Amino acid sequence: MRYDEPELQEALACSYVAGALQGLARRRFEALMHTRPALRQRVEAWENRLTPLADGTPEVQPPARVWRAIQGRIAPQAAAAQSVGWWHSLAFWRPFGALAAVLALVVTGYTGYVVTRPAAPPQVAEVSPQQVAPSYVAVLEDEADQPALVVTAFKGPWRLIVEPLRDLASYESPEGGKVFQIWAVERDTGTTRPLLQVTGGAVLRLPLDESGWVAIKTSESLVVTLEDAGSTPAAPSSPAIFSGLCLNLKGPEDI
Amino acid sequence: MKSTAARDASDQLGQLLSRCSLGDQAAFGELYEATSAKLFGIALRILRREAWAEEALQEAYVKIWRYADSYNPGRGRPMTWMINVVRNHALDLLRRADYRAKEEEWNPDRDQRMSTDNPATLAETSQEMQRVLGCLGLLGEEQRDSILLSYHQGLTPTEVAGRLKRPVGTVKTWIRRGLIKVRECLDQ
Repeated sequence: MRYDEPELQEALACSYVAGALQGLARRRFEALMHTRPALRQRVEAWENRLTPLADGTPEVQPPARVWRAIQGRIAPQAAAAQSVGWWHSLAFWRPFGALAAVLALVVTGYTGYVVTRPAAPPQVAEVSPQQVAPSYVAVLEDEADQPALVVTAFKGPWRLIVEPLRDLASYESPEGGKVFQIWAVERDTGTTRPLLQVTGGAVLRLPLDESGWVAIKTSESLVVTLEDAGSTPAAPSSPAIFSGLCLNLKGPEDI
Repeated sequence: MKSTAARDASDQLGQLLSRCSLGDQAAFGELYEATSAKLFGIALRILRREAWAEEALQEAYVKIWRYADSYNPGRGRPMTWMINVVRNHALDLLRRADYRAKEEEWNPDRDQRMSTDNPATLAETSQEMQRVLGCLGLLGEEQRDSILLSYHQGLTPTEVAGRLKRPVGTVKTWIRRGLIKVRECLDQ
């Protein structure tokens, strides 16, 4: 695969560490890094080479409010971290954050999963392992930046896997007939297009039609709102409860 | 070669990090005390607005606290790890459209203290930094400027190209090839 070429890896790694990779290219590179340990090692080597440049930056004392804000955030987190097992299992050396950690699990996990699972649909089982790697992934987080849902898009055939990362029952109100509506937010215009409705309990594998695939391909991010079950609204009727960037895992790298 | 004092300071930060990974908030306070002025300076240099730099600093330390147990001393010194946490946050903030849109609100005169690179500051720099600067000195002036503008100020290749009045493709190539030359020089 293209991303396994050492020269390209080295060019991406040094551009990334120097701050010359931007925006989505930067996010995509971070996602790639967690599926390719060799890439991460190159980044670490570049960090060790270049970080001495930052040594000469003058020190500036931050205002006391920064420390107070940090303390306010770590005290409850410290308690919560003890009880949440999967969070700890995501520990890796480079703390690019929950988003990237979840991406790593999703990308590596699903690639292996779909290939090896005997019950996979025939059209999936017949293709080579590279073709069943996900093309797009979005980790949707709640307002507290805690990951809630992972949406992964595959092609050949077009399909979507929606996986809740924790119990989301508290968000839904089945008695009120509300379900999760997933939307794609168009990259250039910001237009919100309905994708699918899901309920929060289990991992879902859903076929995607061409318009759905195009919506994913051209999206900046995916968001989730609560909507009436069964009806497909033209636009969200309430604020998003989850949102996350939709990352192209295979596209041409802008370096 | 690293001086003994620098190595001791590095060991001390490593110990504080390992105490943080056990949930020791007092150790985290010491770590913040010892490193926050340096990290804030780095965030300010990239973001140039104090409010943004404060946000990046806050995010970085929350992350350092949460992921203290994943710091691996075999892969680099503690300061390298922490500096890159704050750099990544600052670069992410800088790239957000809503931050970029506020560019014109920035008044450069307000941030006089960030006009750096004076000899007094450079005299205090580490031997490692002198080595990297020595290797950068082997590059052409524009190539070196491209790398430093990108690294220190987080300018995109497009912005660097605008400033140097060169095509963006040229700037991207300068950065990549220049860094590969720096690597060869450092590996010697």
